[in-house]
Amino acid sequence: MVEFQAWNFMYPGTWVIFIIIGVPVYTAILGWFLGKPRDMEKALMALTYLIGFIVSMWVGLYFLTVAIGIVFPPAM
Amino acid sequence: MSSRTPNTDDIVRPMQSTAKWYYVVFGAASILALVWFGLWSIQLSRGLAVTNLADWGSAGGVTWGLYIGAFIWWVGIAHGGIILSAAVRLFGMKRYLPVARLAELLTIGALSMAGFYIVIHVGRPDRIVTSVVQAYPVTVHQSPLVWDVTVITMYMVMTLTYLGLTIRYDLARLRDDLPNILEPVYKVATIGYSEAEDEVIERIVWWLALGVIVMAPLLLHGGVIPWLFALLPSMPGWQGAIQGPQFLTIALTSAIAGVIILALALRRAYDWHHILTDDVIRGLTLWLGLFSLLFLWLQLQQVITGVYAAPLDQRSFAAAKVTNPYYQFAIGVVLLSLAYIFAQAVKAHLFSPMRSLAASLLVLAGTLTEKILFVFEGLEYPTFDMYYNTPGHYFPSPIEIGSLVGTIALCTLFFLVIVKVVPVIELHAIEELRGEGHSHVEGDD
Repeated sequence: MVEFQAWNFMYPGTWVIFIIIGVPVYTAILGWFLGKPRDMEKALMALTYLIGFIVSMWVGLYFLTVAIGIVFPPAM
Repeated sequence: MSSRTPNTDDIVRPMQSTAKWYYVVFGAASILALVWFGLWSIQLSRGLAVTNLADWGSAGGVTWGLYIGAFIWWVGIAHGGIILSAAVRLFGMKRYLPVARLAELLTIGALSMAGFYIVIHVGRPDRIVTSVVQAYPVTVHQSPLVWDVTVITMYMVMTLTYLGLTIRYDLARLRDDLPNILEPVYKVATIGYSEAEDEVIERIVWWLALGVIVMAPLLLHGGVIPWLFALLPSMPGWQGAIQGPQFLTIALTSAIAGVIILALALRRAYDWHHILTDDVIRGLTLWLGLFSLLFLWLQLQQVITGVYAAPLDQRSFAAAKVTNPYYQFAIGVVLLSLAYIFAQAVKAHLFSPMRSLAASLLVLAGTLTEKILFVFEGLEYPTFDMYYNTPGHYFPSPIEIGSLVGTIALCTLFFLVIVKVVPVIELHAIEELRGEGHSHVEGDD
């Protein structure tokens, strides 16, 4: 029997997420910087939007959950 | 179709005047949302014991139920938006330009509700930070749950970026007609704007559309979300490569239904019959028919392969599924909608916006029911049945059912607020309808 263990070399999530599923995002970002018409300033602005939204989403959620944790403290 | 010519006054009207219906709907949605927050606070105080989840002995012992089913349903609705908008840009489907931004906003509203369901389902919301975020560097390498969080975050962020970039064009040109009180918001949103950027931004958005149109259908709703289930080896109802296409067809069906409902509601509210024309609604109705057909076809595949001569565990699950009255309801209402769509495709006079609205509502009811059933029946009929001697069936508790009303109310409130903040119909759409088209979409229908 031939056995294939995908995680012998790399954990599955490592290649599923960062190699396969990341491709559309990497393509879009490469297109911004390398495609034409090319404008580095605007490409950087778009990248700032992308990163800014990631940070604001998770930081916002962090403060929201901290607030909920204070209002509804965990049972000890 | 109306002979009125669309103009910019049409799209800024929601921000300049407020009708009586607005206050009524806002009030009703706020009350329903508050009722839900009240119910949720009971869950936050007493824990998931107030749900019927994990209640073995009387409720089948399932740990996932309505919350996860509704999560998948909302993610599905979220698909319509950005995919429709991306298709307008990539494939030149100009006919749907008037609904493009509405659809993008639907993605944001619906995806927020999906994310909210995860927060609700984990019981204590702080677990999102204390468990998911802190353990991320380790868990992302192995856990499909964390893949899901990653891809949904990317999808949300790509949609927000898409909207943030495309809206600059509109805000810069319509600023004098927009509410003064929001001037700081518009200033931030259009920071550094100049007309010279339009061509570059259109190309940046084109690349983003390309990424979204691959990621959302194939890797999110046809990928990491079905993998939450299909990768588990002991649940015959969840397993199999068919789950990817099946999830995708349900998502696209729900999504188009959501866009039709939203478009018809706003068309009536703001007298946009000359912008969101019958032609657009009929086109969307036909797409709804195509996706409904694919949804039913994949259901048929699963039923036939499950009931004919499948291994015993699969046969047991399939028998439970087809004999469940809720499943019959779900398939029945989608079939009924499909019958109308087919009839109006053959005889155009049978088309009416109200019938398309009814078909869309039925489809959404059907897809929600199917998704909830998929989640908990998959758990109720495992290969090795731990709860065989304590039979019972899951049915959502009032608090779980209340979450559906609450999230629909919250999504309604999102739209009631957003129509007061930004133009929900692209200025490009008005220019196109007036024959002042530009080159931001390539090709024709």
